[in-house]
Amino acid sequence: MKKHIDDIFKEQFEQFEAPVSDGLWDKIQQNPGWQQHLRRQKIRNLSIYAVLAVIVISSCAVLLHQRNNIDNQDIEISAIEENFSEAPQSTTTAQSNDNNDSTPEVSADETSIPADSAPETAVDPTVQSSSNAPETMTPAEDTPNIIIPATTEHAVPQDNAVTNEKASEKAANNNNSNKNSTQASESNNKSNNTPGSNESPTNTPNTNENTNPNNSLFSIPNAFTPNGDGLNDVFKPVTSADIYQYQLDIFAMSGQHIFTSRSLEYGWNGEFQGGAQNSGNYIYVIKYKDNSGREHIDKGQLLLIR
Amino acid sequence: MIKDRDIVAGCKADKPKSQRLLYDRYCRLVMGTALRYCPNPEEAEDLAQEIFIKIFTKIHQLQEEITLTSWIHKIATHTCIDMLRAKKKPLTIPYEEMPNEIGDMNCNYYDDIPTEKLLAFIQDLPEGCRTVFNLCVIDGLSYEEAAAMLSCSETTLRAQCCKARKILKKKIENYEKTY
Repeated sequence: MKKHIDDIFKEQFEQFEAPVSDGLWDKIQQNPGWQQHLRRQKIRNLSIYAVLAVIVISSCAVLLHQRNNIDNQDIEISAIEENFSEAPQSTTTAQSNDNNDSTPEVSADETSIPADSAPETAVDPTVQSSSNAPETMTPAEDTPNIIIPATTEHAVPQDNAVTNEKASEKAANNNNSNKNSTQASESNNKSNNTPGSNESPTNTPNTNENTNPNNSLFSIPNAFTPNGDGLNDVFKPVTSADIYQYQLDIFAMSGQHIFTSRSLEYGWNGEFQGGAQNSGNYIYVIKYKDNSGREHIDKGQLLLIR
Repeated sequence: MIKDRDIVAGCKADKPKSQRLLYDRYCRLVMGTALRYCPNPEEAEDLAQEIFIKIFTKIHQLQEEITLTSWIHKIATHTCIDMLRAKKKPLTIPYEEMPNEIGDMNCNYYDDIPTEKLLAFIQDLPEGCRTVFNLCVIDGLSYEEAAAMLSCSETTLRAQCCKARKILKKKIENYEKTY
């Protein structure tokens, strides 16, 4: 039989298999080239783990840092508000003291009505401290209120005290902290011409209801650009939750009250008394109740950019 | 029976178990290829080692549509050529005049020559002839591809092939006469 050489060899060797010695696998495992490959693989895996670890650690650090910043901001804001609510009290000391007593508890106030002479005020601080102490977060704020009135108490006419008492009683009856705080902020806004009327409410809600902004039901932008381009022209917080007794207040860094809104749809357009405000930081205070009736106060800074 | 595809997937994930499976399935084929190119059994074993390391380190380049067998075959032949090149720098295919007459390349053959004997015939060929015959005839590369791989002219390859065929024909005929 005749057959072409090529075909003979192709048939025989196309799938030719030769026996293999047993040690070949071990030799491959010990081959320097293979060892090098394994080492490289190890290094690659290690570096992947290292990169992952770095990413996790750095993201944790960033989160922590941001949280600290928020806390600091919160402290700054409350410090500013304390200053600005204390300022009028230093000028009209006794009245504010009276109000401090009257708002939280009417009963405490009643004790103060009959006689408002010096010995009476000596009692006041104790009443006040007993009613306020467990709630106050910043005791520093109370101390000036207590100390200063004791010295200048005599100057206060009784009529004034009674009207103050009425106003605050009304407020207490309403049991509406939003209203109180508006009045408070309005009174502050009036550059303290009638200082006695409603200052104490600012103190009480500020100190008592310092809720954590992290639990806010709102998503609050931190900057806006009221330049009329239709984009972010108005600062207003947005929420999908049920909100009651909502009120937004804007303050300048100087403490001046600039804006109030009680409607979720109505935000600040960057103007005050018809004039455009300058770029810079402003403070917002958002007070509201959630559907369980719990009161919230969200505070923070916002940046106005022109 | 584990499919080749699963073995490849395992090898791509650098799983030692899959690598061992691939080795067990294809080591004889690799060894056979190595022996065709390299007559010395010890050298052939080294060659097989190199081939497997190449397979394991480059398996992530294997595309789905290519079968594992043909890919391993390709890796094996390339590695063999590389090794021959490294061993004999540079691997030269001696220039060969094309014979005027190609002659009849058919020979009497009765399917009775054991494969080991035929392998020995190949291994006895001069290195140039052997490499070219392996590449172009058994492994089925085109002369063009082989010329690129060995960096020589196609004519030389054809001539070397003819020479190899002549030698092999003579050997087969002698074998048939003696037995």
